[in-house]
Amino acid sequence: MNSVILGAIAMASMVAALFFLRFWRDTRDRFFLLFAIAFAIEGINRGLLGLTVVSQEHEPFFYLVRLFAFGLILMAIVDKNRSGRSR
Amino acid sequence: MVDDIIPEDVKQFILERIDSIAQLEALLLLRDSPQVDWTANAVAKRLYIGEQESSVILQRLCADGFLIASPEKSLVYRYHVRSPDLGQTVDRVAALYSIYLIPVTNLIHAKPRTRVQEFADAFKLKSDKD
Amino acid sequence: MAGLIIYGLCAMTALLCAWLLLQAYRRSRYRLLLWSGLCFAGLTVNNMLVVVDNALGPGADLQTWRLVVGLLAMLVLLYGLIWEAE
Repeated sequence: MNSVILGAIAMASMVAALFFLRFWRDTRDRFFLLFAIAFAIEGINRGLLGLTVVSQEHEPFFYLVRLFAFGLILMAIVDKNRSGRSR
Repeated sequence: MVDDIIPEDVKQFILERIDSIAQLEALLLLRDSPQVDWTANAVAKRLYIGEQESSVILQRLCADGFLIASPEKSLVYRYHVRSPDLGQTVDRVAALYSIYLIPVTNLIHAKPRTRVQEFADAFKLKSDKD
Repeated sequence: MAGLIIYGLCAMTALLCAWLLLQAYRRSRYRLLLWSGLCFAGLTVNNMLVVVDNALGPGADLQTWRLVVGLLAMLVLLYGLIWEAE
């Protein structure tokens, strides 16, 4: 059951990443590229989590990957506020 | 050519606040009769656009501080700017539009047709404009 | 332990995103901001529940709840991206 939900979350994250990629293409704002990569990484992370024995999120690999993904989001926010317009 | 004719601050205003010619026409239409309440239907008839499009435009103008809405019987809008500076800018846009129709329309048509940039702009911590 | 701290940090990042998006929605009424704001609120809860789950000790297992919250958050985001992105 849990791995099915994880798979669905992984899929949704990848689709969201694709949308953000399109927004990046339309606006040329690298903010969207960073969000796309973050969501794609989280999607892969959740997918891998689903493929293994599921209650593994205390394994360093999984939470480090999530840290990286959220770190990208923070980086996008910092970048957005430093240069103003990165278009 | 457009760069010389339209002042930079007006150009910025148009690029940020005006998404379509219909929206600009609606704004100026309501501005011409500030004591009149307009419904989306009435605006749609005057501008020869669909009522749905008209409704979206009026909602957007209201949210951006150009109009106020009064939900009496059905939703009606009236021209009322949020600040005198905004009113002045709209006046300048109106004057420019009446003289330099083509450059202003070209400027608006050159914009990307999407609001998605607002998603990224939401993460700007300091609001430099309102 | 390090994992819990990291999930807590992720929760706070998600909370920041939710806050910024919902504030912007209040101003401009652009509905994509509402749905994505709600998504990040859900992701905040999703990450916080890892910490709560751990705090509740070995007897409790909130995993299915966590995943359901995470899935709902992503579905809300997808709805917004598909219908409201303009």
